[in-house]
Amino acid sequence: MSDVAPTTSTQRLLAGASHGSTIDLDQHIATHGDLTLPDRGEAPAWRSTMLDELDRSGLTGRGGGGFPTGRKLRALDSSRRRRIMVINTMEGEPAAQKDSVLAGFAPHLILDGAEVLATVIDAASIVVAVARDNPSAGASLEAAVTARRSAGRGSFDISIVTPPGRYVAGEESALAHWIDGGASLPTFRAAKPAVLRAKGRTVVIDNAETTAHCALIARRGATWFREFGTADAPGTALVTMSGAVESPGVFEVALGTPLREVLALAGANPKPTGILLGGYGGAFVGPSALDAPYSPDGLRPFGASPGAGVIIVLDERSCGIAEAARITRWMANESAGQCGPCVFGLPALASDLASLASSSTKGRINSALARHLTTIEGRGACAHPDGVVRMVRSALDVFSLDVAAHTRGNRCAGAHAPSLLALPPNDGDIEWR
Amino acid sequence: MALRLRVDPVACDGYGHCAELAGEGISLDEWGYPIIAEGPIKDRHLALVDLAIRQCPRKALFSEEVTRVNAPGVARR
Amino acid sequence: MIAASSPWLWYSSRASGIVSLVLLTAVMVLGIMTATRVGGRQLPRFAVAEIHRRIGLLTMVFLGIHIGTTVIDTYVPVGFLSIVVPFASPYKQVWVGLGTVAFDLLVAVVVSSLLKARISHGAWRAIHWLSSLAWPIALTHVVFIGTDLRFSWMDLLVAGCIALVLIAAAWRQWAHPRSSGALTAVPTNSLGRRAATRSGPAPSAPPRAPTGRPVASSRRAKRR
Repeated sequence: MSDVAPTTSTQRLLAGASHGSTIDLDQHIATHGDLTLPDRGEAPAWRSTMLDELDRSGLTGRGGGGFPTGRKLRALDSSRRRRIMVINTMEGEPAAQKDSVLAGFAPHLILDGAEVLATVIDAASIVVAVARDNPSAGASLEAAVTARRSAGRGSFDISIVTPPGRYVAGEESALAHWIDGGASLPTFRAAKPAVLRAKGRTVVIDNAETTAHCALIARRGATWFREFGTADAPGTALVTMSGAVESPGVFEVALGTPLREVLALAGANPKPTGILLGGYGGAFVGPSALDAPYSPDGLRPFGASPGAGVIIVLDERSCGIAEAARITRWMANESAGQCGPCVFGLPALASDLASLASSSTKGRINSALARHLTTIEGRGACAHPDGVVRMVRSALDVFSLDVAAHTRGNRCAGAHAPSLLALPPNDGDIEWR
Repeated sequence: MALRLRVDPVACDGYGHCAELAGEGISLDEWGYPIIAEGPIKDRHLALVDLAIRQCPRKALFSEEVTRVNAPGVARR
Repeated sequence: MIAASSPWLWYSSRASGIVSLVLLTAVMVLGIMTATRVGGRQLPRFAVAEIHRRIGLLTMVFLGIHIGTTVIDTYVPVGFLSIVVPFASPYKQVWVGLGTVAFDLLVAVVVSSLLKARISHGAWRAIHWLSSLAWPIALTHVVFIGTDLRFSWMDLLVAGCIALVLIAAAWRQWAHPRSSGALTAVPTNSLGRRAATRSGPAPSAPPRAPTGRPVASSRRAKRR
């Protein structure tokens, strides 16, 4: 799943990545041009200009949150506390590969972006977090850091850290907690957004892809960034497509492209029964969404959003309910185990869906399912259970005909088809530190 | 000043003392964890809610000012 | 230095000591019941916790009488130092010393609980767990200090105290099995009876996941 799409004009982050090997420092500069960051003295003016560019670019977080990057950076507290710039390359979604691909092919883009952001927030240091079970991405970034150091580039101290590759370990409070020496467990924050702290410093976390976009915006400006995309969703985004597609992999698309066209890039089945967008905590959309623009506003009427760029296509060979059941079971195992409604609710939900998928309930399951969905939502410390509830609700909606058939007790051919989902084994012993 | 009840779900260990003490405002789900009713705490409940907050074995229950008119009543992401 | 000699001091010391043991046993049982989250309409769970706390304080009152009368009484040479410093008593050094240790532990738990809002929850819990050692230590003090054991009712009393705590502990372990956390979170339904404790989901027909293995149900415990 690490193939990259052929070069088209939207290939900005992935420019030059089609020949398949890591872009080294010289190739990086040849492809994107050089980036000079200001000296200490000119920094405040540069910082202000860069923030304006980020605002004008309309860049939003590409890790799933979708929050405007410029606004997030402006909202930092004005305390004298020092800051750490953290680049989140954790990519806990098994069906997402974009950050890993970026780290593997274009680590210098990520590192450039990290230096840009670190300069903007006047950070004391940069930390790049890569999942422990993703050694190739870590190695690629390490090599890039070493190359830059040898070439005498960059004025920031960059360290690569490897928290455990749990699903929730990439959640920002979990990441901050781990960096602070704790476990990769999300923390409860009474008021959000709250300032994250680690080792006595303020922690600012941005997704790897978002960071890479910043590296290009710093060179080419907001107007260039907005050449692709729509007014409300400017720029390009990386998507990871899998499922009923001929060429699964990571692609770069202009936001606002109709979903049908995005799917065609991977050779998806032109008659999907459902498409999971965003991630395992995202939402299914049906064929009715195929003409929707692939953007937050375009997908919102369908209850979905681009999220972490995950696109999983299902067709008539699979049973959407069975796949949703597998996802729920997997997500239940990924619970941090801190909040009762999640620890107990997600397995109950997984059980409900398993029963529904096996067509063995003859109508009894639906009230328990509905009750569990209402009970679990909104009562955890992080968004993990909420994501699962959203995904399940959307599956029940998109695959409503299947739900009716299953409830009647009809056998479903697709339920026993091999799963199209990436579900790495996660029911063994877990390390959180 | 309107107050709203909230629970820290990480600290909460499902003892259920709050539901016993605060009556109308808190009920328990099927696993024993508190579901807090929407809306600000009514004046006549304030004393009991105070007791529930103090008696929580894990110090998980707390109150906060309602800052928005249509603020959600339960902990939200 | 207050000193006196009167058989009433000695009787008070013994009597208050015995009462303290019984009360401490009750505190232990109620503590186990609080952690097990038992309770219903007649006796809500918060009430179990509250009674546990109040009997704890009452225990300190009787312990105060026990220690005070023992120290004042010149019949046995136990000095004031022995109130807090273990093994400082010339009389039955080891066994009185154990009593001192138990008292020290109880002072720690009472003080930490009174200051519960001001100390970290982790610190409070650690002290609480440690202080539960006060009961077996106090029991050892009672048994080996030798006083009153010539009475058979005293044997029965001690045996009864041991039995109560062991039964409570066994019940917690086997009737409410859990590895940690809120698997014992039994919801109080409208009849006030315990609903069945969940020990994990039992899916009727798990769909074929790539690993083919079901969710490990031993993990169904909330992290503390």
